[in-house]
Amino acid sequence: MVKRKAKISAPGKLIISGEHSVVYGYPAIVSAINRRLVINAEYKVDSDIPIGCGMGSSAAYAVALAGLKMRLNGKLLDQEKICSQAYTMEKQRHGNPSGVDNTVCTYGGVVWYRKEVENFKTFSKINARKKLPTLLIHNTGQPAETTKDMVQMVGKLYKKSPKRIDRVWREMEEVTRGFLKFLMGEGGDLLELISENERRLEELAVVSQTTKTLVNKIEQIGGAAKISGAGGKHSNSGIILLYHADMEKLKHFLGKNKLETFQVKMGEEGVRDEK
Amino acid sequence: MEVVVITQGVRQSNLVNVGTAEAPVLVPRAVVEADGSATEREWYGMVASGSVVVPSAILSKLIGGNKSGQKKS
Repeated sequence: MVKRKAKISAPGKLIISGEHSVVYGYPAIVSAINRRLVINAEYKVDSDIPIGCGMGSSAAYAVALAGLKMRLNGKLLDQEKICSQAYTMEKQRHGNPSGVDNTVCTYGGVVWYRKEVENFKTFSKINARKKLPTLLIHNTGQPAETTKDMVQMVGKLYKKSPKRIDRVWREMEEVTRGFLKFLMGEGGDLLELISENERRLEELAVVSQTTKTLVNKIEQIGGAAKISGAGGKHSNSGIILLYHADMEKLKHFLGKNKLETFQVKMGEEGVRDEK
Repeated sequence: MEVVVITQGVRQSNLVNVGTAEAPVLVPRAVVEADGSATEREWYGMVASGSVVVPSAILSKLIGGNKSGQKKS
């Protein structure tokens, strides 16, 4: 029996815009990032995707595993089949995956996603411009609330003030469409888009005062920051995405304030053979 | 949290059906037990970022209160 060798990797992902509003049928933009999970023929896993931060570690694992099985069977990587097998794996684990994570981790790039109706979702790979910006990620720490609390809080806010929150959703969609234009190279100001997105999330009360203060300080030095994911209200807010046209200035600020970050590039390549 | 009707009991070892037999909606057990576990945190994080889809009626049960309906521009 021939012992096959194979090493497959898949990227993690980051939600760029649309968290919370996506639950209510509004669009979101999700990007593959250059933090990857690698799995080899001995089923050893090596990953630099943080776990449990909404950065797609589970989907990257499912995608890489599906690719590995394919290669060990002597076949070439078939993205469509990998995506479908990863979706099945995600289903067994999470119950009702939307399919966005396995799609972005398989095909890479940047994906526009919308739940049109309950059983119909649309995914479009964005024809992104070649040079996408580098972002920094900082983990503000685990929120005091459970993530369920955050989803429930937004749900209750929506039930209490549907008109106001519908307005927030519409504004959020405008910002998400702004990101779409920017990523396609059709203009727009990334700093402004990130800040506008953050303001909408603050209006949903999913950003803590500590995080808002940090975001404000970053804006004062000419940068922008936003939470990415469900957020947190009372102490920490999970991961935040940071950007500055002059990244050195931002890094200097972060270093001075002893804030740890890691760099991510958007639009990373999807599943690939590492041999 | 309001009571979630579990119509089919345990479907798989870690999943519970909070939908109906005709339209099953499987969720990790931790999410209906509100235990703040890593599974619950991860799963609701996935709801918030659109990685998992829950029909609005079921979501309404999970978040409590009455359904507000889905709006879209």
